[in-house]
Amino acid sequence: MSVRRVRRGEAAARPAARRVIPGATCAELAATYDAVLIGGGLQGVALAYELAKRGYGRLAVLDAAYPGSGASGRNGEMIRSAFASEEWIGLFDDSLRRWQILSAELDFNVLFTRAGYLLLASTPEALAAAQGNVALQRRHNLHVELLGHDDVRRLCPEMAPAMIAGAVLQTDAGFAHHDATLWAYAQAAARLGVEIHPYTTVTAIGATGGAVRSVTTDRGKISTSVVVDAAGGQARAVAGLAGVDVPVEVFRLEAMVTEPLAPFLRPAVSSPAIMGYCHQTTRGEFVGGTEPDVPVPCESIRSSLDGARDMATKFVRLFPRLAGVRMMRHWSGIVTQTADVAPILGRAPGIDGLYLDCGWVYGFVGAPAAAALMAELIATGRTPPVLAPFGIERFATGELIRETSLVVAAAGESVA
Amino acid sequence: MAKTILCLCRDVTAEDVRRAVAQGYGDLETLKRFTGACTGPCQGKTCVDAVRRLVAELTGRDVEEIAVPPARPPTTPVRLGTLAAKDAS
Amino acid sequence: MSGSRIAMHDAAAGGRHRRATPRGPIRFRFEGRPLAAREGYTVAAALIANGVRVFGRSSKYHRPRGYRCGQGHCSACAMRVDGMPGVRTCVTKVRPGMTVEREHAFPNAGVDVLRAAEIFSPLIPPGFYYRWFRHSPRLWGALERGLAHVAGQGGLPSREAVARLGAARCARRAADVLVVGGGVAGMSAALAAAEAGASVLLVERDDRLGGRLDDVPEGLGGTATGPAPGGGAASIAQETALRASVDVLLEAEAVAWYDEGIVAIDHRSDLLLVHPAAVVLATGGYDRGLPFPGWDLPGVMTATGALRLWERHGVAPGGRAVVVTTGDLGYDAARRLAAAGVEIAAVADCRQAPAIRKGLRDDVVRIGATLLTQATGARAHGSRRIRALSLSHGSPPDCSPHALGGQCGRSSRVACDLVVISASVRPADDLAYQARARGSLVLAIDEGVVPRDEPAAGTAGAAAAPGLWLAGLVAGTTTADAARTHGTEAGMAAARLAHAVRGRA
Repeated sequence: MSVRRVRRGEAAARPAARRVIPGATCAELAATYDAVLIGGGLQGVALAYELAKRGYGRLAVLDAAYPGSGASGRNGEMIRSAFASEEWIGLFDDSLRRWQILSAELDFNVLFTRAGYLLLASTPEALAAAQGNVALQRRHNLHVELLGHDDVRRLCPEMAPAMIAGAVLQTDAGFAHHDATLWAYAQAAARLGVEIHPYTTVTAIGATGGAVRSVTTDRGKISTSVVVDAAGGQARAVAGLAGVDVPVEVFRLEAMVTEPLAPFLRPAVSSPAIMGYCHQTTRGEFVGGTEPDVPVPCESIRSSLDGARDMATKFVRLFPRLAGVRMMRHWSGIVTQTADVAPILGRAPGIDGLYLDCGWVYGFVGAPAAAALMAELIATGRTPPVLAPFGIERFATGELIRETSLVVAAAGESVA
Repeated sequence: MAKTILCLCRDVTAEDVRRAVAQGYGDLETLKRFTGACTGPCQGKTCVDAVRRLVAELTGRDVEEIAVPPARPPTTPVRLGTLAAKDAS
Repeated sequence: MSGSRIAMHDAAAGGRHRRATPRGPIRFRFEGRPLAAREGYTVAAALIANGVRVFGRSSKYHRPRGYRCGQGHCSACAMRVDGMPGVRTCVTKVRPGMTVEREHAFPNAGVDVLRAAEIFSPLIPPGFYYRWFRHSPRLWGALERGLAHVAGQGGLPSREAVARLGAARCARRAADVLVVGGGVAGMSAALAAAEAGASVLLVERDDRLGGRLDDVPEGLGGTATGPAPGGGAASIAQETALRASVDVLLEAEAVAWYDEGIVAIDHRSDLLLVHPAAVVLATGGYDRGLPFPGWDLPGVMTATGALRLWERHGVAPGGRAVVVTTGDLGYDAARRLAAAGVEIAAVADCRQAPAIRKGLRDDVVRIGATLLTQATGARAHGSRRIRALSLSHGSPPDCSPHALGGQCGRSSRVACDLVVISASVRPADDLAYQARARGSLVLAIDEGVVPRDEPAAGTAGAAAAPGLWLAGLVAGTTTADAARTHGTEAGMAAARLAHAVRGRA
């Protein structure tokens, strides 16, 4: 009997001593670090960079696979701060300001393209709600414009007229390149001495006497007094290692990319009517994702037939001529979502030295601000005001953040 | 015509791959993201083998050691109109 | 282009002719020029018959690209056809009134001023933009807009083209056994499964059954295991097509394997979702390349691509050829191209002392080709199409390509307008990968051994995850005989599994 298993997509287990991205290290783990960041995604790597910038001792970022292998390399790449709540605008506008100078800051072009971010309203009711949001956004000095049907058609001539009631356009927002952003942070962090260890799995977090003492990995044990859970899809499991319950559910998000086309779409577009978001990259590919109206918790990272058909159907509805354009590939990633879809940022309850930077759905756009503010918290012990509303305490007190402009369905309810 | 194009879809040359590996993109998964090789309309059908072989040579590993990126669906580009087809009732 | 010499074979008359303009009843337009083609030609064959070699320009350096793989695998021949961008012209039939245009070049692909991009190419390796403009977002903004217009293929499809496409239909169906691929292995599997009482659906992406049987003659590429199959592909194909319990879908490509064991099939732009109990994957493989400087020029093509032009359409792929090969198949390609009236200048074999089958070697010597061993392509010359090939002698015994431009030994230059690459084949195992990732047990049938009993995991989870057998080239089989034997065994095993699943249901 000859049974040959097909081997593809299998990385060799623990490929020793090779670099997977610039900035990652091949070195052995040290015995002691001042802080260990679990998760080599954008959150973990950016936070390490910000901590290093503050001169925060010896830092290690651990990733179970290669840095950026999770949601950081699978997201929709879109950037905005025009949300509908004080809390979200506070955090994400801080981030947008950082995005605008990030390439210079990190000495690496993250391809932030200020093409504008269009939040499409497809019904008069949605447009009326957008009008209210614009008033709030203007009070926060956001560069937003309320567009009517004709304005949107001029800006997006390929969009189906029936889908357009109006839109909010944030003119200085847009999109960036997710891989470039991760690499930029990783290299900048490495220049400051941060060790990014790929293919390193955390198996235990040692906490005695109410404080973090150590992290055990498949490559050995590290003593440290500060641990950050920035493990993305695995954040709940990682916090669980320290006995902390992070109230998140895991959802699968799917995305697709078409063959490259000549430019036909300038701004990043998101549409609550189709629960979708999309943009056209510099290379000409149309990239986007949609979400089911009522998401079902799902930890599978496998892309689905229903997902592919949902995306195709909705994007053809939005841009009819895409019917003749080919989908090159589709994929999925997982996000951990909280009850109010806002991230969990801050100290973990009950354990000194354990910090949470997880529960992200809008993690790509939020990363630069979250990293800087979390670094401030860890380094100084003071919670920056912008960060305060995002603490995990809100789930115990019931003071959830109400944000209504998200293109994502909260579990069990549809958000307009 | 002195360039050796490995990835015809994206015009990625052997020299590009060499430089990327030298910079530290040592896995096909990260190398393809950095150079764009294997991400064009043929999805690596015509180039993944040559790129893999060159990476093996440049990093002193066996070809077999270098994992090929996952074959994401669809295996051949499909029109959105086809995927958007409604079930016959 | 119009001045190039075209070799045309008049298949009907059985004779050999050379003339500049092909006759044919089909009239189509190429960038406004009225051209004629024969019935059944692909768009690519029709263009080559009319002397067109440059089919488009590459995405970054605007290098000329032409017909290449002949199987719709690569994107080098993609053009705008009837307003649809990115159409693989090598697998698209030409139809009366069709309009064919090259994309992605200014003013057109024949004379592309953007080719100048290549002069600056040392400055723009991939990732150049990560280094540039990091301190000047405004400049990046301007460059980014410019890049967007230079990069990318064609524009969106025209409204008329989208309207013609109409609404696609989606159908679902069950099958005991789904066979993907209608080559020898796939046809044999389908027949065997039908013989065992299973309902069989056979999908083939090409417009005919047969697969590579035409391309890979008996006894080549491996050990000869028996007599040549009498009648070859045609007879098996006929039998397969006539078998009532085998449902054959042509121009149907299995494009994805999803959870719940659903295989998605693109059937002439309609969507077919099949839920089989067992699957035989006989998807063949992708022709490997042998990259060397300039090998992307029009006129450099795979052996499969070159032979299909002649053997399917009677269009000679060139006038004077150099064959670069890693095995015996290249000699066979040389022999068959000579029959098309192509002058074979040389066969460059990278092996040190190849034990070529005797008859084959004699044939190639007889047609006047120079045989070179330990030789491979070192550099292609020409600006818009290949004019000559430099060969390097004394290449490494492992046939490693001169990807980095390294030369070993001496080199010689041969004038030619066609370079035929015959390398090995990479298994087209994409669906097997997806199946495995989705919990199906994947079995390759190689070395003539088949699992006697259905694997427990395959049967236990069969309702959700069909058992999957690989047979033929995708499983490493290189001879038609072996493909037939293994296909038959895979078909029988798949039918047994389907029967077991049905019995339980």
